[in-house]
Amino acid sequence: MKVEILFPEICNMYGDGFHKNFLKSYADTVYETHLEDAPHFVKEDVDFIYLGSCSDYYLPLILEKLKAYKENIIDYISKDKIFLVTGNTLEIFGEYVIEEDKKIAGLGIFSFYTKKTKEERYNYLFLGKFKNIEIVGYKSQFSLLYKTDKYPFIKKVKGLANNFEDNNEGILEHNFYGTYLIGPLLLLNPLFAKYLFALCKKNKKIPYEEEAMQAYLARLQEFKDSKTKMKSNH
Amino acid sequence: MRFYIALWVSKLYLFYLKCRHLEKDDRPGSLALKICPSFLAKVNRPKLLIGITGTNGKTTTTNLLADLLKKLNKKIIYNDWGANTKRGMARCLLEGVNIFNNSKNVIAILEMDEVTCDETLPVLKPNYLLVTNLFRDSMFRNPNPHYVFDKIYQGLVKETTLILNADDAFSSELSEKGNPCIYYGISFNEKKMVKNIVNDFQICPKCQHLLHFKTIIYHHIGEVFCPYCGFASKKRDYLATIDFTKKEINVSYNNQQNTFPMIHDSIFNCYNELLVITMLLVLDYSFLDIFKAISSQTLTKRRYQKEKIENVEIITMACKGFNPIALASVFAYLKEEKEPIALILLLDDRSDRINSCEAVNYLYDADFEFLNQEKIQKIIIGGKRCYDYQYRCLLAGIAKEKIIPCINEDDVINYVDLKTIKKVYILHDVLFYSGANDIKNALMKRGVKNESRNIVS
Repeated sequence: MKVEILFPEICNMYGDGFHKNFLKSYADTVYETHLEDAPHFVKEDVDFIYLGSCSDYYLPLILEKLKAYKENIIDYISKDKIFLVTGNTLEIFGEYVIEEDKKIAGLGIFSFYTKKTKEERYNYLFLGKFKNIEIVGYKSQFSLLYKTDKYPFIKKVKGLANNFEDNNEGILEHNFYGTYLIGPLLLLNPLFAKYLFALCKKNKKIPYEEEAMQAYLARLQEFKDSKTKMKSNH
Repeated sequence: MRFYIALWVSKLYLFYLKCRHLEKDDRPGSLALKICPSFLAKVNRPKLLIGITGTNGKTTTTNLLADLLKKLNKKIIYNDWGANTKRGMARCLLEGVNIFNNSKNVIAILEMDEVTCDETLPVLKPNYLLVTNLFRDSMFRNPNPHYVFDKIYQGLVKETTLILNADDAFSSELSEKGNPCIYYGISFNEKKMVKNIVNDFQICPKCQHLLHFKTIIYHHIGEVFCPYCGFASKKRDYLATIDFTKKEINVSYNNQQNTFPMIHDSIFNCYNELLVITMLLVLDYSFLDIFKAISSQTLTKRRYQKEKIENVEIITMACKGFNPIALASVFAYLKEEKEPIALILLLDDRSDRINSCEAVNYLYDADFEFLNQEKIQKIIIGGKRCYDYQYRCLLAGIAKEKIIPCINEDDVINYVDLKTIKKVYILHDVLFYSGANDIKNALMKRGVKNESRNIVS
């Protein structure tokens, strides 16, 4: 299993940077591609690409960088290879981002769009279901996604999904999994991590699986509790 | 008139609280702002107003500067209980004026919440703004470091002189606003390259290439340069070297060199102390006066306490919730421990325990790997999040038999075996001071001799 982590020097916010350590303990090869490097997936076969969340300040840099590889990304996705995107970097894969009176063009790989505010921060917990897997996570974002019906990923049970009216969280197309859930996603959801790894024909146990499950089940129980507020106290 | 009503009513309220020894309370400030929303703009400020902001070390630095200025016979008003929002500042400035809004002869030292600096700095116009550092913090409170940087940058007014940490090239970028700047920093004899999980300043702000670090003290604190465009850390006007053996901080400035006693031997507290020394030197206090004041100084008890039972030290340390840098800094400090220790973690967020579920992402940004030391014999984790901590500790390579999760916080003392260790560290959430203190007292009461029947192995 060959993994490529895009821009780990900046896409590492909210614990997402630890996905690198997690993937390293599982994969055979892990490439770390910096902003100044050419990505590996354009020149060789990679099984799994990961892009994590960053300071919003860096989004234009990432967009600019990936524009040059738009066709390669479309080609990669069409081959059913895994592309996991967590947090705000998901925005750049859509048609555009509306930020106050500005409309910024995205990569346009998917037809959703993003509405962004400068001051309102959405801090939420999320509980949902993907296939038979219950997914837990946290959300802390200035943005909401719209026009995402074509790409249902995680069905919401509780919390904030793509926007306040939507019942789906994230984007799924072929094996492109994009979600605003942070936590970090794979560490908080061992069953989902195993599902993704199984798609890469890796069926071994994840590191410390029993303890990962113990923490996951405790969180699941708390999220399901009717007393648990899904809007953060902070 | 509205302002004067606000001033008089809130002064009266403060007087009432003082009579009941409850003066460390924001409510008079809240009341003043409720009656007169522009209270902060209208209240006369003292001639000298010093603001302190940044991600970590604000409260410690504020307390330290206030304590030392008091020892130097100055009258101080300050928000030393971490009341760093507008209402805390209003409460503080109330004390700086009489009922006619005439300034008293005092110095105001205000800890300033970094996220509201865009609103407070233009109103307060501090003479000096001390910036400790800028890092990622709680994701819910402070979205990301650039967001916080922008808030401070937007708020800066030209009257303010900045005192900046040259070893934090990120917050040093506040100098781009054009304010007068004074830089402080520490030089280490040996080439330090501490690798933390988190480094919030990895690419050049000018050309976006990867930055090169000559030294890394912790996270992105260190000396940095860009080989492509020449961007580099600022030159330190107040440059310190540290002697951990002698517990001294040696500061070079304006062709002088003086040695001060070290208040606490953790690197982050050395930075706080150096910042305070820099401020006092800038204010023209003599070396001897500063030296004398520091000689009898300790850290505030709510943040750090040490007691001894027989030959075992029991230490409580506060740790800012959701803040991976604060947690990693304490872990880095524990890594250097030379004697066998037990570590008790009581870090659950107090408000999330009531009706929510704490976001644990910060555990993955904090270097639990530093705790993977032979000397650290047990890690006992109390509270609802104990299974998250257990998993994180395992991922850090810590042996499973050393990790003890306890859902019930009161149970943690049952796992501390004082006979086999020299120190117990109790790391607690800032708001769990009394709970941690109770656990410390229970351990003290139990003592070394009487414990064998109580220990769960």
